Amino acid sequence: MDKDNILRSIRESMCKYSDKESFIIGGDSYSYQDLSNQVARISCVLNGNKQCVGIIENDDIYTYASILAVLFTGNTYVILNPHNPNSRNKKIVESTSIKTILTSINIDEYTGVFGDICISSINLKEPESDYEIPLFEADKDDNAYIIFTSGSTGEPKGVPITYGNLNSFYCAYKELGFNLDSTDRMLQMFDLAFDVSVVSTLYPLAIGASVYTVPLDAVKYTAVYELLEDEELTFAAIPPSILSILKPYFSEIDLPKLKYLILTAEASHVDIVKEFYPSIPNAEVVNLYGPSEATIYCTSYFATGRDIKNYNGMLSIGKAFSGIDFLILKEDDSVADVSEKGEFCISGSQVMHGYWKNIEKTQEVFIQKDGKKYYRTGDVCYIDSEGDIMYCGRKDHQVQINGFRVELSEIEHYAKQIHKNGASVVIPKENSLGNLVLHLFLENYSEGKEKIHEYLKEHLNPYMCPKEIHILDSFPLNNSGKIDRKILKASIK
Amino acid sequence: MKTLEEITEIFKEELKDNSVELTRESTAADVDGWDSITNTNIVYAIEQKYSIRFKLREILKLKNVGDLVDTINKKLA
Repeated sequence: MDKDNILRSIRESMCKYSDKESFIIGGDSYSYQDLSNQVARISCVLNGNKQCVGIIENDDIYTYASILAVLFTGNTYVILNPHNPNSRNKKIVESTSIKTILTSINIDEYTGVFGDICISSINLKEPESDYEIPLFEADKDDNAYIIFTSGSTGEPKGVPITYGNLNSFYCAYKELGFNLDSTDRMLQMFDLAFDVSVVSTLYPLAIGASVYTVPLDAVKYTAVYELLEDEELTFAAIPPSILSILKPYFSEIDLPKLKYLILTAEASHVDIVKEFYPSIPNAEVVNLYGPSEATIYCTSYFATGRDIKNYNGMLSIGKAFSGIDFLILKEDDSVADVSEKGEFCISGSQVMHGYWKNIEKTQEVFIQKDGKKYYRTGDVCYIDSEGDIMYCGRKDHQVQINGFRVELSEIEHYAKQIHKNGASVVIPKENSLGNLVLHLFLENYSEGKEKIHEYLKEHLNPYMCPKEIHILDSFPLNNSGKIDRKILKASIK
Repeated sequence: MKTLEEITEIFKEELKDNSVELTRESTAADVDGWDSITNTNIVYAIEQKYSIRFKLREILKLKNVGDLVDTINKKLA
């Protein structure tokens, strides 16, 4: 039973590996004993449980210890990113009734932000004394954390993940069979308000390994590369966009110690993965997919050593985690046959109960089928003849032009054949006459619009060819490091 | 000798911001909009303008704008 509880595993690591390094942050290392001391000290100022506790994100041991302290006391952590607009942080604090904010940076900057909400902020850098980590265990239906994502109405949408969800994820993740132990050195490069940070932080601690973090403000690709090569990291989860940025330097990169390269957070492209292979001769490449609503990841595709399955160049997302039931539902909500596309819907104990204080949105995203509650991911997939799940793009990136269904990823796929030095994104937008027009955005493209236009005309039906081509030096990214399609859309005059 | 002024012009252009002011001590944390993505554009623009090429290692070692100016001058020497 102990094996099924990630917090218990972390507690065991703290005892068993007390002299070993838990975190390496900005070149400073902290042993499991140091971590445990910090967690104990912070835990004792958190009175009670089942409360939402705000943590202001900063790249230091206090912030990571705060996350653990909140979890060890059966509370719910909510990350407040100091770089997000104040108004957004305020909305989050109000909606979660946060009374306590843990911060290692100067709270005075935030007094105006949270207005008249009474908050007791706890300065984390108080002197240490002898405390013990409380032996409290949360109920499986209590929330461990709430991730806020952008909602369609502009109100942040909260995804609450329970302790039960988290432990179900932990069990399924372990079953992937990664060959990792307390000697491994693992990367944590994600914003703490993005849920891949949860596994990138907690899983290494659960096995007694060391976590190497990337500073919040750093030029990330250089920081990631520096850690991978200089610290000889053995495990790294990164968004594929990092590979795109590093691409001009692949020939300089040599990471023989890397055992696993996890690609996640956005669709991975087969070409760039193959080009990176020579830099990671001993690593297995794994594509991990999952919406926050189903706790971090829920499918996996082990790509190395085989002919990489892809759809329009996008890597397969492979097989569902154990404990995950899924269906592919067609437009009329009937179940799709093999090879037939539809919306990927998932069920199981990793799936959230519902959005935070948003019954309407919750009802929209769940569907009852055969007595089970399925979450609609909004992702279009199909199952191939070998049972692998093939990712085809977002449902909301599928549009109708002149009555024809157009999958934007298909156009992007062809654009990528010509434009290999940056991303290509198709954005549909209504013109003044109310007709949907396709706009092709090209990042760092220098070959001339005519060339790509001709190529697309050759390969796509006329209605699928973008009417307008925009060239940008670089694309805007959102908090999760994905291309921000909304900003691109808003830039169309 | 390439100067801070010339480099500042490249930053203004690449960050699409005419108010950029750089000192030798400026880092990515001090300059709005200077991040992973814009950094690649800035490096690319510098490589094109001076016909030089940076290695990833060299980019890594740049701790501030002063380092960048010195590295460019070293390559052009």
